[in-house]
Amino acid sequence: MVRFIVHRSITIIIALWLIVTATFIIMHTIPGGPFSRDKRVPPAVLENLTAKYHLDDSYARQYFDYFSGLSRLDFGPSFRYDFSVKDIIVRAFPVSAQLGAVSVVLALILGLGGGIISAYSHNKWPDYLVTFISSLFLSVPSFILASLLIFIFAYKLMWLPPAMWGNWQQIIMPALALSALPAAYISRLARTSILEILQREYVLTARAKGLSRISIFFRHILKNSILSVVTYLGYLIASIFTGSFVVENIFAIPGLGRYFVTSILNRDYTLILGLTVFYAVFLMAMNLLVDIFYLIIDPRIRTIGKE
Amino acid sequence: MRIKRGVFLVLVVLSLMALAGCGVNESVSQIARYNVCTEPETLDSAKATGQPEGTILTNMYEGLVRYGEGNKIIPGIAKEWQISPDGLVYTFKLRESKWSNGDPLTAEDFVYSWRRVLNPDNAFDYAYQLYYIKGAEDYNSSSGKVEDVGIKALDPLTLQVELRAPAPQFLGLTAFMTMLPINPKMDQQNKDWPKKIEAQIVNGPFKPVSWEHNQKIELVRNDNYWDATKVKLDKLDIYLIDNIETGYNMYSSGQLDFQDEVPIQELPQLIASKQVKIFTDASTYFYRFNTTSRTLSDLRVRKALAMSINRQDIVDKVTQAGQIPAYSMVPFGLPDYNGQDFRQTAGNQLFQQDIQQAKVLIREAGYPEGKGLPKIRILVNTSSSQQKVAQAIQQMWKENLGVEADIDVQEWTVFNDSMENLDYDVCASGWAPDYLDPMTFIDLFITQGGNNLTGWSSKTYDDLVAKANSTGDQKIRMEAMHSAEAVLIQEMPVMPIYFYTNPGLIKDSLKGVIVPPFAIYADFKNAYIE
Repeated sequence: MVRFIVHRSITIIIALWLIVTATFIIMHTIPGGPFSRDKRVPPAVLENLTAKYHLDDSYARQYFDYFSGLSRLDFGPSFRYDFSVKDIIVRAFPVSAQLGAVSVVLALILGLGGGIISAYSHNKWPDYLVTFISSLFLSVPSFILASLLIFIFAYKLMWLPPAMWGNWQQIIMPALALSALPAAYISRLARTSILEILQREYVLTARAKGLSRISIFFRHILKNSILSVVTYLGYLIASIFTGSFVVENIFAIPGLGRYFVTSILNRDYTLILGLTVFYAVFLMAMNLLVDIFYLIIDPRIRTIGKE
Repeated sequence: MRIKRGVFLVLVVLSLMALAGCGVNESVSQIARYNVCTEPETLDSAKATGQPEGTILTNMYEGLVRYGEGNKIIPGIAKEWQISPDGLVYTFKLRESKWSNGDPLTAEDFVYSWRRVLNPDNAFDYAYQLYYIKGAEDYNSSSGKVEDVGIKALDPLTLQVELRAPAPQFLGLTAFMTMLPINPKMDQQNKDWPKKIEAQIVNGPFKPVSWEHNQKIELVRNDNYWDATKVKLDKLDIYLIDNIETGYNMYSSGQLDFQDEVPIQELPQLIASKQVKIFTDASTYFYRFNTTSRTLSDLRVRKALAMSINRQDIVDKVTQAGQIPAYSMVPFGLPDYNGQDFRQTAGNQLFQQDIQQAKVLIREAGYPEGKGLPKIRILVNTSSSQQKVAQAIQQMWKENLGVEADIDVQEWTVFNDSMENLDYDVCASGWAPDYLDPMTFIDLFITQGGNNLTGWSSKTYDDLVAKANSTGDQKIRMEAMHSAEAVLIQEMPVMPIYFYTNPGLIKDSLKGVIVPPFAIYADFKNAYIE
């Protein structure tokens, strides 16, 4: 187990180096720079700016400086805002994470619930209904769903505030909009794996032994079918916790998602790199957790790991 | 007992309704809620460059002068000023006023603030707005000393500024965000003050309380402001919601009183139902021609393209916010020497829509019915309104001239890059003034101008602009600028399309907001809720 974690951590560091390098190259290759303005500034002003942000250094120097900053957990100042990249992440990530947590829980409840109903009523109307709803959620983009929710709950019924962040009422609509797609996906994953497991011999044996349906479900089916969902969960948490540009924009939520898009539009080099590093580390850490979780819940993987 | 409780509830409800009914008279709470539609990039007046930042800062600070109703320059922290006959020396007499912490505000504070703007180590974009001042450009480009910059405090309440050349626009510029004062003690003791709004010591109508990023900034009346008795709002909430549809939803559900951007698809209906007010905007929308391109270096082609589009149709059917078709470069709203409007003195017909003449010109250029003319590439950025206007123009050129065009949509920064490298045929452009004087438009197209970006160069034009810049005599200045504009339109390196308007969603109950045609969106100094 320890060897496994050490091994994976080394892989993560190498991957991170590759990701930062690639981002650095792409970022400097795309046209335009952080000081591109509607109104051109005089050369003297531009010189002051490039000197202040060290953009007059060679690329090699900038590249090296970035890594030396990174090793001290210093992501540098934003080129666009008065705040440092770390300030922005520390401020905005908790908001996205909070919304993300609610959304993931919601997605799990709706998704697993739907999947179980579907599987147990295989090819009957509840199954069709759940499949229909999940197809809908898989294909409708979140901004349409968000607009629809606002129209119904904020505009027509006036139950919920249309936007902004700060109280529990303001979480409901964005969390629904964010969780629809993963819920649909989870319900499909759960349905498929439950159906598969229901056919297994040990389930038949258990039933023959006279175990009740409920205890079969909890002892055998849930535990075995949840593996595929857990795999997906690593990616889901990483992507949903770091925020969604569209949902945050529509609901005026001060999260991190918006910066993934605006930093690139603004050519805010340090913020682009900082967010890339943050997202990459977070995603890989989640995947590592998922793998560790596998080792714990699935004895088969444990033995493979030992070999 | 039950009944009694019921009666009590009815009474409570009735009294609440009565209280709500009081909303029309003076007991209404004086809180204005305004959406500036973005998170400010900075709240450091020296660093800021955008209109949203300008708007927030102008409500928190006051410069030497302020813009009042009808674009009039009114005394701010300076109660009076003198300009030397040669137009080079400005002497401002400051009123006795205080910072929000009670400290007296002195001429030294302005010296400190403006030197800070120019300090090359600070690398502020808009340092060049102060280049009018003697020695300023040298200091900012590290080739001069700070002591040689022409800003002096003669005594605690007298500020003297020496310019390098006459520039009558300088007076109005002292209202601009770059020239707002900051408190030197605050700056020296707490370098992080731009990040912490509650640490800002201000001198304007409102003082800061809190800044929730991407949510809102809360300001309250600054009782230490010299003109605080005129400020009627107790509180000003500035929302930072960047999605204008979201802002519109909030406005519709009563959470906002004012948002100066209107979702374009709602615009016609909102104008019809009078929910939108249209404010003036001293900005021009135009297309640049790349005069270094083989086809567009031919003046006849440029003129034919400019004369063959129906601007009235564009503003009526595409942009739909009451914009004014432009047949000249300088928009309405900028003063001439005689107190009149620069545009009105010269009229807005420096050229005309004339399809027949355009057809003749394109034939003379060797492209009868547009035949043989390579496809023209119209460069636009990703804004949907720019694309729609380009589509309309593309169609008009095809129908009226037989000229084919492609629309090249580029992401904003890439677009800027292409424009800078003259990598375009025709390029969608707009210009908003930095100060309320025609020069902000006229000096764009001088040969050395960083914003010329057309490859066009005219000695006559450069000379006229130089002439205007060499004198403080407004009559000579304005006449030179009128002549320069005429040259510009004759040579047509640019094709004016329309003068902007500024449609805003504003509740009828919010009164007294000044919406200037440039630099900032809204000044709430005199605003109140009715």
